[in-house]
Amino acid sequence: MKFPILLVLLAFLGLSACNNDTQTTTVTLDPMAFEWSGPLLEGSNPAQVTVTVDPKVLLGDLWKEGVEIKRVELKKAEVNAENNEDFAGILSLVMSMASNNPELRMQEIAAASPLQPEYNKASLNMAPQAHLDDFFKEKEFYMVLDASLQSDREQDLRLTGQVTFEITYR
Amino acid sequence: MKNNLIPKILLLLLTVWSTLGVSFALPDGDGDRLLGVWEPSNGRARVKIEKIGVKYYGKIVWLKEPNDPDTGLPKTDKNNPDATLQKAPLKGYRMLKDFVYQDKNQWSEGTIYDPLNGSTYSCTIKMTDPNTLEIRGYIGVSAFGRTDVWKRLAIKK
Repeated sequence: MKFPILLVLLAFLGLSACNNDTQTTTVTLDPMAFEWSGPLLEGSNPAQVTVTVDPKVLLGDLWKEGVEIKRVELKKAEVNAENNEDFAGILSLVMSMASNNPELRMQEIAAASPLQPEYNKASLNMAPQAHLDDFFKEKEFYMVLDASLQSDREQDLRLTGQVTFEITYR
Repeated sequence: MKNNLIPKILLLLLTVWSTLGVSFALPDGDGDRLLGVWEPSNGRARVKIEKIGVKYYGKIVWLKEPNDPDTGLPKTDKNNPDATLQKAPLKGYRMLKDFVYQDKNQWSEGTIYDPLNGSTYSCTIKMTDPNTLEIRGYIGVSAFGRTDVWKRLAIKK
């Protein structure tokens, strides 16, 4: 009899610890401009944007002294074509995160393949295996967007990426 | 007076130029010798090595057999353990990741992806001459692995 009571008590303590210690919020990074200078060759072409990690900025009003980001999960990744263009000539998009930290591996976080050529906005499918927490412990990381082109392209290319994360912090 | 000044200015310019020259020859520059397009020994693919931040990454830019014989369509990364990426074109897939230049013509801390079985292995790269790489993929410790020789596509003299 004693054992189930102890188990229930422990479970209750565990739950209350989770509730008291951590909070969750959703953060959308500022639109990121991915730019490629033409001429571009058929196949995959990468563009990158540096993201500076500042919990104060990320959490805004929720930030407090000593706050620590515990877990980060990708919730949404969208890419928009700019200058009244569509995705014509772009076969696929793969979004990745990379860091200068040797212990932190590059991770593909979302992809869209094939793209609908007549559209100018794409919601990328998110990779369920992505572990992103450690990127937010760095001072900065890179968002990399690989655009796979159907054929050579003379003109520049500019796409905008919008990414939303769920951040659990304590 | 003017005649004395000119050699001094020249000397100053030379000093500035040589100082800049030295600062350009930092280890980062050494590591950049890896950049370029390389061909594995089986000749079935070509891999372009690029730099993101301070690390080096290589992606497939050419395939000897670009289409899947079963479907006739361009090959996709169908063996990727991540289902999200299985429809992504194989051409363009980043198969070398996260290499950090150490010294003595070696890059380490990276991984190599084998699209034939969807497995990722630890990997080191050694440049034996400006146009030849020894790529060693391994599991756990480097002793248990396999080395392949890659050749640079555009030969540097």
